[in-house]
Amino acid sequence: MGVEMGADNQDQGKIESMVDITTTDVDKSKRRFTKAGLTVTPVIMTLTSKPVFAAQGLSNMISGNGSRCQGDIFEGGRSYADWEVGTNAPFTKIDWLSAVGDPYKNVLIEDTDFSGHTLPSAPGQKLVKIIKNKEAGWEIVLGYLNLKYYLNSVNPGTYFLTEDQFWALNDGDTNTWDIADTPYLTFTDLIISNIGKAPGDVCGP
Amino acid sequence: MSNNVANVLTVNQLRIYQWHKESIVYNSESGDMHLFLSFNAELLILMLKQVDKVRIILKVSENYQVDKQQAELLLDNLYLEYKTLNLID
Repeated sequence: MGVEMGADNQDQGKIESMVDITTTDVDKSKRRFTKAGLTVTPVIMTLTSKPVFAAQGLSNMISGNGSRCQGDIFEGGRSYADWEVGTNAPFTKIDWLSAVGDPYKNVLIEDTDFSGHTLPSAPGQKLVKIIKNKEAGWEIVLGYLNLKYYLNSVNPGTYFLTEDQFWALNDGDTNTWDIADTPYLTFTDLIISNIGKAPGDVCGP
Repeated sequence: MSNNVANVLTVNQLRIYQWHKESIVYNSESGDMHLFLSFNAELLILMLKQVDKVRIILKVSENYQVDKQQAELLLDNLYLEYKTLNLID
């Protein structure tokens, strides 16, 4: 392979030499330096991709080591339809809400654990209502309900975010977790991209 | 090497498809894909294989017809950029 692959570049050099014949007053040392400088950039084009991180804990996502998700126990959470309608067996709406602990059905967002944290949605609204109406920030509320559900489920702590991670990301505490260290653009993106992911899902791109 | 058939090799987490002029580098960990000049992809492979820096400098110097000092500068900048792209540790 490729030892001779610099031929094109040599051709380019020849062309530049030909150009030199018709060009006067050229500082050759400067031109050569510029040539080296121009070739510094190796990338003609980069397509960044969002890998499919299925059912991994956040720390594993950040590690970037795809193989670590083997045997992972984490769940990505239930979709808004599960919470709003609750018809997906074996759960019912009541099951979900009781699992996260009443009175989420009737309490305003500012009176829940979001008290003292950044509110993702406007105050004066109920959590399930925010999801149902897809109010601003409904994705984060959905993440919160999933977090609470999995903390209280038969397999506690199997949601892919821990409470500390959730609140740090919600509040923009970059000292704890910085979304910039993940493959995701925003906290909302992180939550929604993992909805429905279950242990055993294919990991990595 | 034919212009139509890629030479494919895997180094660490990178899958590299080399054509005559250009190469595609696919990072299986990040999912990112990069289009390089094939010579720069070659340099990446040499770096990944931890080939002696002096030998790589010589290769750069010969290819670009620059002196070794300039070649080293080029190589250092390439190294930094590849590092930024998470292509090398």
